[in-house]
Amino acid sequence: MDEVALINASRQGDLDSFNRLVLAYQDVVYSQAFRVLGDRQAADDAAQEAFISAFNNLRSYRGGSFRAWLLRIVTNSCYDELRRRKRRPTTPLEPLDDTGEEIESPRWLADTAEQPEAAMERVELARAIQHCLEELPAEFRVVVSLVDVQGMDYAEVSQVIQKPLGTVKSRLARARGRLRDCLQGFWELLPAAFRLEREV
Amino acid sequence: MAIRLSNRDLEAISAYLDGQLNPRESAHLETRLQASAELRAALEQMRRTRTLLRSLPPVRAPRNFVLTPQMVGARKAPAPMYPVLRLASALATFLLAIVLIGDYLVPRLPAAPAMQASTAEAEVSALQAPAATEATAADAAAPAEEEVEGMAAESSPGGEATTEAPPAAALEMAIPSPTPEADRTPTPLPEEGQRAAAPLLGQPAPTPASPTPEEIQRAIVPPQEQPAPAGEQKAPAEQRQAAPEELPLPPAEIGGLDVLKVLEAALAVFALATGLAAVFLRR
Repeated sequence: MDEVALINASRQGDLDSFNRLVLAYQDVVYSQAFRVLGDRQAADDAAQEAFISAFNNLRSYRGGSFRAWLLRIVTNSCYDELRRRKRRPTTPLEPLDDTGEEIESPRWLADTAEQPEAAMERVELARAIQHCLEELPAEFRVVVSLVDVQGMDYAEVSQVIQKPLGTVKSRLARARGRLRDCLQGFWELLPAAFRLEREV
Repeated sequence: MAIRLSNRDLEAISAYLDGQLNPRESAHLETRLQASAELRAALEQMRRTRTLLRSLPPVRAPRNFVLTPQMVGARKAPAPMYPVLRLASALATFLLAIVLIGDYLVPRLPAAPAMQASTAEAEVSALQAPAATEATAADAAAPAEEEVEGMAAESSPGGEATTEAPPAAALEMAIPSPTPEADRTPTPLPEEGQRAAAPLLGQPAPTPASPTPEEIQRAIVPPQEQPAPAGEQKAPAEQRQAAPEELPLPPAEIGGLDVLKVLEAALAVFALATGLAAVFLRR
């Protein structure tokens, strides 16, 4: 059964059909939640919440990319979780970065005294990148995750975050610029393959 | 060291890497890249950053997120009632608006009693007319009918009252025709009211001494050929007089305003209750 047939059956309340869609997209949904939230348990909750919300709101799906539609739902779930965290902060102060923007990740304080070299001794490359991702404002983090982690194009991201293409372009550029600055400290420790790799 | 770029250059480099610049913008940026070593370095750093991000290993879901009926059942339970309540609230609000507009457009309460009073006056004066007046009224009707008979002979008998009234009904129509005013009057003495209507309608004042029993009899039971034109002629005349008095009366007489108020209150309560229930279910 193809995706459209599964979606139509799910709209009629067929939970088995919807669960086949869940199995097909759960890695994508969970991955996006994890990259945005930076916490496995929170990502688990957000992904489950997103699938339940998707099933209950299948009538609002108007066609097009089902993956983009699911990613929009899980992104909204992540925003909800981030707002909850903001209402119940785990640290007494919300630290600001050098540009005066609030850093939302609670991990920021835990890692603040840590030098890049020490961090690289402790964590692998992926965790270093995730660490830098979490230093971004949530709006930037969502866009850069969708483009560079999920591999979506600008138009799809525009649908997911429901903002114009110019906003996608701007947020992505600024996110990459900040990630570049953050990763600069880790640069010498990166594998040679990454340092030397060139793209056409 | 990270190279500081303006946001505009940063956006141009980022979009260039993704192939999102149009040919003119690409050509412009490439020209600048050839001229600026700093810009080339910035492009290279951005390219590496992008490559690193894209090299992140995929994250696998730690478990299956398949849904169970219990997971969706609890959330879907109120769903079927929501659209029903929403529609009911909208309809009730719409009806309430119509009733309110109608209530505003019909004559207000102060006007209704005045009209009732004037109608009551007319009825009382008709009922209190003396017997002599009855006779003169009947007599007055007779000349009017005779006068009209002549006119009817010239004109075609195609009037509404003539065509609609069957010959058998002509007798009834000879006596003042059953106008809406007569229907409206709940008196057990319809003849008196109808006869007394002539003076009210501004017809020539009867002479008190003229009627004789034969004339009265002729007036009451006229030949069958006469009544149709008479009815045809009188009915419009009476309608012209009665219409302005009758139109606004029914709502006031049947107590329609009270019904409207109750209806308005009921609709308002219903719209509010269903709307609140819908909002509650939505949450």
